[in-house]
Amino acid sequence: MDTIVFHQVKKSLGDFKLDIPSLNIKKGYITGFVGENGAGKTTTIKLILDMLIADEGKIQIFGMDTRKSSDSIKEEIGYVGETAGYPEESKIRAIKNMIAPFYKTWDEKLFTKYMQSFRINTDKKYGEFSSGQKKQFAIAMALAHRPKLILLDEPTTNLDPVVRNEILEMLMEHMQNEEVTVFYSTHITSDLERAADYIIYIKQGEILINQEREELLRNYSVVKGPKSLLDKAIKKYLLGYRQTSLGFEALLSDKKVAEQIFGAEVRYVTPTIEDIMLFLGQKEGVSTI
Amino acid sequence: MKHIDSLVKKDLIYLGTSLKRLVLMAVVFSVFIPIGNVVYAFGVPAIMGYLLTYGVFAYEEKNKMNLLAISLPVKRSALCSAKYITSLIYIVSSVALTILGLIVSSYTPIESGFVNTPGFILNMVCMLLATALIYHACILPIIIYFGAIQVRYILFILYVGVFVMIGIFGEATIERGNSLAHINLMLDKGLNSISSLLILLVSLLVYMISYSIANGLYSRKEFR
Repeated sequence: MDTIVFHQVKKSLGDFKLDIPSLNIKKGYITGFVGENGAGKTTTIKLILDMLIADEGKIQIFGMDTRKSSDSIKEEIGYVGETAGYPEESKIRAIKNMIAPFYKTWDEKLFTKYMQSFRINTDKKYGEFSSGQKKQFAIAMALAHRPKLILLDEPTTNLDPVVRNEILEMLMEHMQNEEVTVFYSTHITSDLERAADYIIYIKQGEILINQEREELLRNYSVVKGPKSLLDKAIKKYLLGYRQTSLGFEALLSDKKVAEQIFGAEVRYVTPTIEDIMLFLGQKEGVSTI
Repeated sequence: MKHIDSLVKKDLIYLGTSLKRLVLMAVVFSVFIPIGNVVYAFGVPAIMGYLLTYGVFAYEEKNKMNLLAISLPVKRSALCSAKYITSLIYIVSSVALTILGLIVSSYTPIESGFVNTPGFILNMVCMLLATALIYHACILPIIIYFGAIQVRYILFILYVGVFVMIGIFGEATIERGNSLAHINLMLDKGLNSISSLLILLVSLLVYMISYSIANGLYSRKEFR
């Protein structure tokens, strides 16, 4: 069963064009949504949340059309954007009292538990907290109504590794107790190495990769070898490459094909998600000589 | 519609916590501006519209609170309705404060042109409400469609324009040397209660038409 389904979705914003003919986000898994800045990650999430309206096509969440049933859908969504939008001068308790009535399933005990575990004093003003604590509060607010879908749009940007780790731990713990789907947009790919089940890579408004993470890392391969091997015929098999004074590094989507092409003349390395993102971002190839 | 009360409460919390100064200014202006000349009371709706209605919209946009609002489980029409209801609360509160200020000033030697009689007060209330409703009926769809920050100069010009007109009109009544008799004549004698109420009803209708336009605009609004 799929939680989110895109059907022929197109959206133009100035020069930028998003084109997602088909996309299915599986229920009960963490899907990492990666891509460089301006690739279309936030636009995609805003379309899911009915903040933006698609020019063509439709998006279904839990089988409901986002344009027709956005209120019912959002009842089941926990959203954390780059900015939370909470008033800086309001106390944490006041913000909670302002937001909680919108959700039938608001769990006060769970909220209190999160506030205690993050050591957030609810009598303090939101503006008095560090950016890390603000983000922890935003995530607690998103989880406290026990959503079935969690949408995270760059939630750990500008946070130190300790806070990022705490947030990830919290998410993982929450997922163990709830049947929840997470759609996690980020360019900090190390977060996804730990947590994601599926990886979607978007570039210039088009989805280039949508695969299970383990399968992706198993199939894709980075090859490292001498520059003399890098001729025109070979370049067409490469998803991306870079040349250095010592040789070249390239990404291929199929390790077996790579072995057939290069044989024992190169070294094969299992890529990280960041490697994949970097090579795909440099499709034309770059020289660092 | 679900959650309109919570949305209204949310806006009032913003005012009570983050925009206290604006509220204080709005209260002071509502009470004191008309005391010298009852004509100036008709500028109060513009102040309320500029300070509170525009103020909250601009504050929300600046701090991305509009994104928080649209991410909540409410229909877009509920968000729009809440804005119109919140504006009505500002309007009624400011008219009440203005009348209160005028009634209190009528017991002082200050000559404002205000006549402390039920007929005059009823006409005054109706006319103030009508002015406020029509003013808000004009600015709300503009803000909703274009965004408060984008149209700040247009709103500022509208705001100043209303004040300039009222200032000119107010000064003219004084210059005529008839101590505001002109206005008194209009509010006390020229208008009877039925015509005042009719004007109020028409302005309510305009406000509702404005709501239905804004609702249509809000259903297609994009939150970038």
